Amino acid sequence: MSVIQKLVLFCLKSIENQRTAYAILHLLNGKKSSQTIQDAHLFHLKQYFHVLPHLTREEFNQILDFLIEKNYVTCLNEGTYRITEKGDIYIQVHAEPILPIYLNGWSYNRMDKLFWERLSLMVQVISNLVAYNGRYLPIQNNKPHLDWIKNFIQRNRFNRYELATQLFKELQHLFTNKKIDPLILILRLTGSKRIGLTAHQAAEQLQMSVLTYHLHFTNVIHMILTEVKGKTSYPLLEQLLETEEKNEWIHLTQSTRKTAIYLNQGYDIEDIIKIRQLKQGTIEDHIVELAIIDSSFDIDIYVPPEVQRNIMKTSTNGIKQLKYIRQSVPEASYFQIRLVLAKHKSAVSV
Amino acid sequence: MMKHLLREKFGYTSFRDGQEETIKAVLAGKHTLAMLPTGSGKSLCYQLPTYMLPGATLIISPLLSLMQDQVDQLLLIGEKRAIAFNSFLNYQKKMSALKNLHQYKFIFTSPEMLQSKLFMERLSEINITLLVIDEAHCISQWGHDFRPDYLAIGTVMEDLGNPPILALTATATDRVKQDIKQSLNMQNSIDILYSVDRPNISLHVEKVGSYQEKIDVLIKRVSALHGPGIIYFSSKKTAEICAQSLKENGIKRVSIYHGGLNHEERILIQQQYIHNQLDVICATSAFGMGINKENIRYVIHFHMPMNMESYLQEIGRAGRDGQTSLALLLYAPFDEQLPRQLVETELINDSQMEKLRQFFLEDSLRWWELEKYEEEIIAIANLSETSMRLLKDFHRNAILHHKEATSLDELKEMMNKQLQLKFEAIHTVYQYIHMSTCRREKILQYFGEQPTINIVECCDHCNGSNYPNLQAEKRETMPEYENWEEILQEILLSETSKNEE
Ligand SMILES: [Zn+2]
Repeated sequence: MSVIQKLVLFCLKSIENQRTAYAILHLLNGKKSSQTIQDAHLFHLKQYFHVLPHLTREEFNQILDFLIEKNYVTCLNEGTYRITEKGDIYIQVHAEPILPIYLNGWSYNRMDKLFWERLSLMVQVISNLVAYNGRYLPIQNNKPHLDWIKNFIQRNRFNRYELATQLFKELQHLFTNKKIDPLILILRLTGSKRIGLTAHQAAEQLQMSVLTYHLHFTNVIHMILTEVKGKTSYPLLEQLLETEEKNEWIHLTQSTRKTAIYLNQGYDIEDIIKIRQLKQGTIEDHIVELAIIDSSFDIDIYVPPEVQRNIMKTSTNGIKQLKYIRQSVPEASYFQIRLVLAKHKSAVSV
Repeated sequence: MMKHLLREKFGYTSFRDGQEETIKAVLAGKHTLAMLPTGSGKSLCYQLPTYMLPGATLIISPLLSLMQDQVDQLLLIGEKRAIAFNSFLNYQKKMSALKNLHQYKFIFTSPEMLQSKLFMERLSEINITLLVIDEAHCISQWGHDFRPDYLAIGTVMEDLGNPPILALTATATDRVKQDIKQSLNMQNSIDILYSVDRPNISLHVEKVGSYQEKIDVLIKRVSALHGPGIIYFSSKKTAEICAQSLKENGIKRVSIYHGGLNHEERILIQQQYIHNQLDVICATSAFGMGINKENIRYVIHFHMPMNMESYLQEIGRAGRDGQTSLALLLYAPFDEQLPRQLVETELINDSQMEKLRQFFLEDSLRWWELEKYEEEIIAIANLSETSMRLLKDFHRNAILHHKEATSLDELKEMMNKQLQLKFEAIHTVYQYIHMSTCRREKILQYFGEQPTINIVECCDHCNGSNYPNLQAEKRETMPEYENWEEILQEILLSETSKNEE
């Protein structure tokens, strides 16, 4: 049985036919609905939240078919399944370690992607630094990451060889005596002479399916995150966890603060809607709140300067009613008007 | 000064054919038409002058992926003042790019963007000292890759302050060249024309009996050939199947490459190939545009190319180092069906056109709000992604000139002409495959050139079906570490220990 099949079997046992099997698909996909979030807590499956974001319904159905065929589960009625005695015994016999043990999807589901992108970039940059090679293509093209790494190199610009040696030591220490295969991650790393493998290629070399590989890869990243967090023995790797927060932000609501962190990392509204599974209106509210509190917040990218001028012209005529401004500045959206007024600390009556 | 810049900035010691003349013409402020062979480093012809001109260079390019590749290439030489301004940018990114537009030295954009008022306004405020039209043959209705949105370029030159134009094209017939000059109003241009011929590439065609036999022959040929190669496919699915077959037959260092890869995968596979970690790329036509690899020894076409122009561009990626190389085209009976089908799906046919007409005539408002009905239109007329884009390009232009829905007749005429031209182009390739005289002569004739003489490894008709002797590359194999610590050591410590020694 593959690790993914085991995982689904384990989850089916945990939900004890109180939910349909698709609740598990949603959980593994990391769907941000209140039902899925409740399920994750209720059935103690938080660690598997969002560990297989790409698992499709078809692939999931195939796994269910396999489990039925092997007589590990039986179908009760439409969509609900019960684990059989054979399935139960299988789990008990193979209890330790049946599943990747470091998975912690609930805590890390937003951080793992960011962490990998920064780590892979850090290794590439340092490897090229010691090779005195200035001409190479960064394997990540996310602008915030590139800015971050530039910043990081400046902060740590003591001897470049020491930097490389330190990173080597930290990674070596990290992977020693862990219940994972370090190659899962190491094969993906790119240096000055050696170009890393893609996820597909690594899966092929390690002879697993892409899906299984993905689960193991996530397991490795989660292991690193747990290991590095709050420890002093990983001075370089710990810096990969940084998120930049500004002092003024303490006055923001919790949710707005999260949005602010994402914005500061260079994500835009559309990205944040996707990542946080919130409505556009909610994110826009956050941005307006941020504009009120953080005086350095630049709104030019949301509202062209000439539109800002037009809005201010109308509103300085003593009129603060959104509807009226909207009529006289038709090119501006409600969001843009609220944002401009917030920036200029005008009280708005809707 | 030029030579110095070439060495310091770009790391080359000498110019390639046509580069120096083109750059001199550009720096003299002349309109320039440059037709240089693929792989001759066309982008250098505007990159280098940009550093010597006071303002920014605006580069108009047809493919979004190509733009990003160019920006990446500039990044590679440490140039950060480059941006690809296109529809991939969302509102926020667009606004911030517009705000900072004056800080860029290289601005890449698509013809479509030239119709954005805001963008044009900003462009007219900054100093554009060179306008580059990449793939300029796209402007010609006689070209193999005509794009209606390219026609808009002719109308914006004044707003840009009539800067000197550099029109770049790889392979074009005389008719297309004349068309380019007329459309861009650059009749008095300096023309720098190089032969399409690449004497070090030997031209071969191999006919097989069936699709399955084609796969078998492919495996046999690839096993026997030396050095890095590219195999082009028209379908991603077939590329995957063949890559798998090659692996199963012992050719391990193979990877597929297609338009659907993400940034990390795209960079990794390109770099693996450049670093000789891969021998063979099974690619759809998206591969090769942005990469500089000198030692590609062979290019195989598994499917029939759509036209001679793109065929020459694709085989032109082989042998940039001047060493003997091979172009092999595999043909099975009825292979011409696939390109014909592809052409049909990318254009709008008469019955689809009729459905569109009816849809717009039913309610004349629909024409003016076409964007709103996009999904409906696609469903009603069963349009492919490319044909929907054609409609939108045409529509945008029509609206600009206040034309009603009845102007669809013009589009219909355009489509019929295109269909006929593209079928003719496929037929030319078909004739090329089935001819029995010198293949090189046929190519040169098609592009209106005089035959070159005395080519040692010319083609299968001149030299017989044996392949030229390709110099086996000294293969820099990557040490196949099994051990993770050794890999980590190689990445992080190999230079460190060298330093200590
Ligand atoms: Zn010949």
